[in-house]
Amino acid sequence: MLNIKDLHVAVGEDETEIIRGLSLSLNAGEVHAIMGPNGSGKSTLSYTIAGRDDYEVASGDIVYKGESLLDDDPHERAAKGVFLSFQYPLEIPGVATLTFLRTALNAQKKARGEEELSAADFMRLIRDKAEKLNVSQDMLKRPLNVGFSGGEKKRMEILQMSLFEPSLAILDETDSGLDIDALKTVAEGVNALRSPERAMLVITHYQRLLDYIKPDFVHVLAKGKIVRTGGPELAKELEASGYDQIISEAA
Amino acid sequence: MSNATALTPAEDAFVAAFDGADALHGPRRAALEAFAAAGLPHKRVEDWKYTDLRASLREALPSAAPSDAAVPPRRTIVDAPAMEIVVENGFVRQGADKAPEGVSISSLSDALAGGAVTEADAERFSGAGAVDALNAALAGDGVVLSVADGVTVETPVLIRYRGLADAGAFHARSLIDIGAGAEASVIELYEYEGGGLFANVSSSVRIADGAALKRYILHTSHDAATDVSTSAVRLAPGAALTQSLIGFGGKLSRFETHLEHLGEGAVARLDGAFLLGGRRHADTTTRIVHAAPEGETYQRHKNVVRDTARSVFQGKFLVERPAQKTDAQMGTHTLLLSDGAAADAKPELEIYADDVKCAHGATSGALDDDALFYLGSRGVPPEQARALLVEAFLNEIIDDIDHDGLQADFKALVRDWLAGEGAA
Repeated sequence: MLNIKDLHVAVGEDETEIIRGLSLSLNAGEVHAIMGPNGSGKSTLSYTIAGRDDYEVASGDIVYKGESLLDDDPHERAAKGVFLSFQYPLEIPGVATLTFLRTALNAQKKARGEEELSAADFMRLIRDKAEKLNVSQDMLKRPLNVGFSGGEKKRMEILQMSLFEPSLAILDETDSGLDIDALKTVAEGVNALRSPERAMLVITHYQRLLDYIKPDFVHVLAKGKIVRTGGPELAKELEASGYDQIISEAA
Repeated sequence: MSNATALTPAEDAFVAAFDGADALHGPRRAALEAFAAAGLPHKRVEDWKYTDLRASLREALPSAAPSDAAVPPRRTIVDAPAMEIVVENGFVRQGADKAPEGVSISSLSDALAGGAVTEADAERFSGAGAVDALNAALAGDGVVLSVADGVTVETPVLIRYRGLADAGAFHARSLIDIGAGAEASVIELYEYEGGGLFANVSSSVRIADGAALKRYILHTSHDAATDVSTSAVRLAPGAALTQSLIGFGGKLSRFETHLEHLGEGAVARLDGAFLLGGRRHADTTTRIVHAAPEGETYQRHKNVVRDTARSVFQGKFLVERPAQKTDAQMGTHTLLLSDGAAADAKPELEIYADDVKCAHGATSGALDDDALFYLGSRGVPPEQARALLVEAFLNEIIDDIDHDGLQADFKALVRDWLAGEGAA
């Protein structure tokens, strides 16, 4: 599904290298967690896969379903099935959430040569999906994310994931800013979307989220590369001993 | 006529066009002298420093003549039935033949000939600045609309100010009176179709005690046309004005509103949105005077500017000493969509009363990169994402237009403009 090969990424005007030789493979049906301390390059990795334009790939490649993504714009990657759940979802005043969701879904369908959904069909679809994630009709009518609580914003991200049905979902710090109840709701939403056709990359600083979204593999990211890979038990080990010890052992 | 400074050929032509052979001869001559003393305003005149009308109107233009070509149907579909009056090249071509009870509509030329407008109305021909003075001196026609006390007019009155390509210069002056306790709405369409024209339209609006007027204004011009519109509005105690203006600019276009709260507790809402492309220029200038207590003014103005177009906003609130408990809020915000696009904003507060709430805010900037990336990451292509964000920016203004047909028209015009089809 996703093959990242010796990736080097520089960010900003001074072109500081943040990702420094990262390699990673995800197969369909797998859930991988990437854990790492602040500044290790977690968010840079997620933005780079999504295609943010000020994230410069200096060398290496991101291969998705057998093709390089590097020349694709963000909207083209989305249409191919790449989805990023943002750590800080954007508030967009003046754009009603429903309008945004329908515009985005139909843009993806159009890019794939599929038939766009009528307003009525879209409403049926979204009503059903929103209900499962405890997203109220009122939230759908409000401007996108404006005045939403942290939990509401993250539920809206997962609602989008369930609507777009991506093949590759990247969840960037989905647990940040959530209390335990909100975390459970979001995790249930994510777990409901686990499928043999879908790969997920769960990026998190804390082990807590992985109690609810159980990964198949855990990778430790430090200074822009993966320093250790293991099973779910690696997350527990990190929680017990901290990043410093694991990273120094790896080095 | 004594002139200290030499007039340009255009100014000379205006002075030479003076006739003044009607009941308003006296005030018209005084207005002409005021114009001749000042000349066309230019960038060294403080109120016009961003908009150089004299430079834009160097060559003398002939005085416009009436056209006998068929009036095309209006481009915007106003779904509600309207009383439609067409003022073309400065002459009323089509009057409203079905004014309801309590509403009187005539042309200014008929009103002058018939004695309905007399020297007693001299004050409405004095001029708020040199361009309006020129209008007061030369305007032979326009719309005279009055709504009797206590009458509620359900159907909007639609006034189309049209200017044909190469029409020359014309000056139209309308007098609008809303009687005590009356309610009415006016749709004003400004349709200037080509270069070789200077359109100078003025409106003198009086809203009596407890009366309410809604003005919906759509300004579409041509990138070679020059025009100035001046409205002087007086609010009596408890009167209300709601003004929603959407415009697309011209070679040089200026919309001035002079509003006076003369009576206690009057309320004014002034909304404006301009979309400017190519090399167009649109100037929105407002001067709001609070002369009486407990008045309210809410002003929101937005510009979207691309290519090498330029938007100008000059807004002044003057709160005089008796105008205690005034609540006056002004906001002006500009989106610059291209590197060559420019915006000037000059908000001013001048306050002599000590117990008031007055504020202004001004911003300008490009579309938010984070928002564009977010929309892109959801599959929305860049052009569509930009359009969505521009519409969102304007929705604050357009969503508050309480006339459904017009709101839909305005939204469609914005979409056309964003798609690059809206020469408008």
